[in-house]
Amino acid sequence: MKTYLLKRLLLIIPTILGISLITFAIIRFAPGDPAAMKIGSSVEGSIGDTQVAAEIIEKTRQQFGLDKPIPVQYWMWLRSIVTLNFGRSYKDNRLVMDKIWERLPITLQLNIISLFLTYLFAIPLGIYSATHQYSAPDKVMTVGLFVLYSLPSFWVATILILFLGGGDYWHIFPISGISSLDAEHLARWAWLKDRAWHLVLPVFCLTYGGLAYISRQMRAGMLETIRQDYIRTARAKGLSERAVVFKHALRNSLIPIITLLADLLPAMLGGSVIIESIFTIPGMGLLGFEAILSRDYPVVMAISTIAAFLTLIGLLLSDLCYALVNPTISLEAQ
Amino acid sequence: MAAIPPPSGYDLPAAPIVPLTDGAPPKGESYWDLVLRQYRRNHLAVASFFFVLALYAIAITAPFLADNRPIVFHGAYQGMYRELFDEWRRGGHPELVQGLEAVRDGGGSDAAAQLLRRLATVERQLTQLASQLPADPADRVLSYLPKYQEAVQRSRLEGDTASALPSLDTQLQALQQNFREISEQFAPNRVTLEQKLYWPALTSLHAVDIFFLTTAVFLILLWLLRRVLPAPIAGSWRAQLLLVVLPPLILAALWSRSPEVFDTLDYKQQLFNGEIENTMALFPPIPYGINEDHLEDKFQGPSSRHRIGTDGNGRDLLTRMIWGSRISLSVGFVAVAIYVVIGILVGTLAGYFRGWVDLTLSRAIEIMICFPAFFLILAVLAFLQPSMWNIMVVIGITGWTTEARLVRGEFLRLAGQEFVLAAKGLGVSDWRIIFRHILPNGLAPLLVSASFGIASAILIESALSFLGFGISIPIPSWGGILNEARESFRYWWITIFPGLAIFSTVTAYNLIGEGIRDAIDPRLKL
Repeated sequence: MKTYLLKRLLLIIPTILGISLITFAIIRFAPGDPAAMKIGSSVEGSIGDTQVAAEIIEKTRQQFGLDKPIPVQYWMWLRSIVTLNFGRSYKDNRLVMDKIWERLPITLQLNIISLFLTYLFAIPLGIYSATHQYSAPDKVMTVGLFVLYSLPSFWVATILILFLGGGDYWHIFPISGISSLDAEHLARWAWLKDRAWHLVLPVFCLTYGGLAYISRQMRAGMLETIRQDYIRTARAKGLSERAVVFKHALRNSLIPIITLLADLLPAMLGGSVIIESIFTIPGMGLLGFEAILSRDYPVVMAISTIAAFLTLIGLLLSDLCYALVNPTISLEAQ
Repeated sequence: MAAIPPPSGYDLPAAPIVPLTDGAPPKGESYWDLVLRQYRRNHLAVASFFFVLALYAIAITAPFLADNRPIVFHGAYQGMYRELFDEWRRGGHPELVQGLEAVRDGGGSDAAAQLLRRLATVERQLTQLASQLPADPADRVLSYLPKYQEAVQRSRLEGDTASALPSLDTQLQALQQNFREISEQFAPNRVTLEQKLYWPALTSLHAVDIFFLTTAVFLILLWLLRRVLPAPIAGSWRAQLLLVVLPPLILAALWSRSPEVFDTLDYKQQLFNGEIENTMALFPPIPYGINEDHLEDKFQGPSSRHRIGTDGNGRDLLTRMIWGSRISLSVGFVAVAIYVVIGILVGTLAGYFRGWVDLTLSRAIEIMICFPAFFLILAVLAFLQPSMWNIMVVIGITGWTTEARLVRGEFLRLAGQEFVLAAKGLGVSDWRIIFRHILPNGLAPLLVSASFGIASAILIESALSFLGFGISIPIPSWGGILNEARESFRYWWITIFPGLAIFSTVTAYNLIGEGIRDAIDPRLKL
C-alpha cells in the first residue's frame, strides 16, 4: 500500500502542471489584449495621440511581463500560482486573493453543510431501502428519489421561492443573501438562527440531487454486499440481523460511497453558481459568474485554478481513503 | 454412413443426419436480441422510450403543429400580386427604361451590363405576375416580354446591323405603350386572380427540417415494411441505415439548392384584412407563432385560447415550448454524440495500448475532471458567442471524461482476452481489433452512460439558458423561458410548464438509461 500511496502522490505533479498549463493557455489565448484591458477606460478617455496610448500600453505590458517569451510567462504564472498571487482584479483593482478569501468561507459553508447532510440522510435511506427491498416504503422511496434526481435544481429553487418565499403564497424563508440586513446587531444565538434560516432553501437545493444519487448507489451497493457469501455465513453463525447489517455489510458497501465523493466535488462549484445567483448569496460561485460576465480574467482564472486544486485534493483524499480500506489496491489494476 | 449399433441395454434413438447443404443452420439470438428482450420486460423503460420518441416527433413536426403560418391555403394572394405589380410599375420598368436611355446616350459597357440585370428583373416580375393569373390573362402578360427583350437586344448592337433595325427611340416608345397597356389591363383592382394552392408552412422549411422529416418518414416506412424486405437488406443493419439516411440526405441537399424563402408575412393579419382571399385555409392545431406578441394578452393564464397561457410579451407558451423542444433534444443528442466520440477515442487508446499512453491519457482525464465543468462552459461561452453549435461543442468537450473512463475500464478488461490474442495472431491491425472486435463487446455500458449523459446535457443546456448564456436566436429554449419567468414569479404557468417539460424529458432519459443498465446486467434472470 505504501508504494501505491507514493506513486499516487507523485502522479499529482503532472496533473498540477497540466492544470496550470491549461489555465495559462486560456489566459493567453483569450480574446482581448490584457494590457489594453488593464488600462481600459483611462486610455479611451484620453483623446490625444495614439502614439501616447501605444506607449502606455507597451509600458503596461513590460510591467506585467507580457512582452517576455511565452515559456518565461508560463514560469511566472507557475510561481504566482504557488504563492497564490493571482494579481489584481480588472474591475476594482483589489487583490484577487482578497476577494476570494472573502467569499470562499461562504461557499465552503454551503457546500460542506450540504455534503454532510447528503451523506447523513443518504446512508440510512440506502440501508433501509436495501434491507427492506420490495416493500412499499422501498418502492415509494425509489420512485421519489428518482424523481428528485431528475429535477433541475434551478427549477426547484424557483418554485421554492415562488411558493415559500413571499409573493402570493407563503412567506416562510427569506430568499436572498445569507443574513438579514440587521444581522450584526443580533445576539449570537439569534444570529445563528438567522443564518440558518437563510441557508435552508439554498442548502436544500444543493443537497437533494446528491442525496438521491448517493442513496441509490448506497442501496445498490448494499444489495450487492448482502448477497455475498460471508453475509450468509454471518447469519448462519447466529448473529443478529442488526449486527450482520451494521457490522459486516455496511463497512464493505461504504467503500464505493467514499469514492463517490470524488464525483460530487466538481459538481459542487457548478451547482453553486446557479444556486448562488438565484439566491444572491455572496459566494465564490457568484463571484466567478460576475467575473465571467464582466470579463475579469484574473478572477476567472484564479477561481478555476483554485477549484481545480480543491477537486484534485478531493480526488486524492478519496483515492487514499479507498487505499486505506482496500489494501490490495495497486495502480495497475485501476 | 452405417450406424454402429449401440450396446444392448441402451435405447438410444438413431441420430438424425442433417444434410449440410440444406441452407444455413437456424440463426440463434444475438446479444442485442437478448438485451432487447430483457429491456422490454421493464415497462417503465419501454414507456420512457416511446415518450422520447413522441418528443422527437413533436420536435420534428413543430412547423405543422404550432405556427402562425397556415399549412395550406387555397385562394388568391391579393397582397403579393399588388406588391409585385407595384414593384414592376415603380421599379422594374422605369429602371430598365432608364438603362436603355443611358445606353442610347452613350453609357458604355457598364450600362450594358446593368441592362441585362434589369431585364432579368422585369422578366421575373412579369412571370410571377403571370403565375398568379388565370391562363388567358397570363399569356397576355407574357406577350409583352418580347418587346422588352428586343429593346435590350437592339441597344446592344452597333454598326450596320443596328441601322437595319428600328431605332432605339421607336423601341422606347413601344415600351411606353407596354407600360400603359399593362397598367390599365392588369392593375390589381381590375383583374381576378386565380385561386391556387399555397403551402406556406412547407416553403418555409429549412434543409435540416426536410432531412429529419424525410428520415422519419423513411424510418416509418422501413418499420412498416420490415417483413417484406428482401433478404440482403433485412439481414444487414448497415444496408437499412443507408436506405433510411441516404435519400433524405439527397433530398435535403436538393432542397438547399433552391433559394431560401424568408417568409415573414403575418398570414393571420393578411387573411383578416383581405390581402389574401381564401376559400380554404388550414392552420396548424396551435395557430400561434413563437414571436407573435400581442401585448394586450400578456400574462394570461391557461385558457381555451392559449392552452397553457402566455408569457410577458403576450406570446403563446405552448408554441414556444414545442419549438423549444427542438433545442433541448438536439443539444442533448449532439453534445453527447460529440463526447462519446472523444471518450471512445481517448478510452480505447488508453485501454488498449496501456503503458505510458495509458498514464498520460489518465492524467489528461484527471485534469479534465478537476476543472469545474459548468464554470468552464460558462467561461468559454462568455468568450465566444453562445450559438447553438458552440453550446453543443462546449458541453461535448467538457463531458467526455466519464465515457473515457468507462471505455478504458472495458478495454482494460477485454484486451487481455483470448479473442484479442487470436486476432493479433491472425495479424489483424490494431485499429481493426479495436473497432471491429473489442468495441462492439464493450458498447453496452457506453449506451447506458450515453443515455444518462443526454439527460445531464439537457439539464446543462437549460441551466445555461436560465443564466442567460443560452441561445439568443428567436427559437426559445425551455431554460430560456424559465429565465424570463424569473422576473414574473407570480404567473405560475410560466415557471411550472417549462420546468415540467425539462423534468419529464430528463426522467425519461434516466429511465431509459436505467432500463438498458438492467437489461445488460448478466445477473438478472432472463
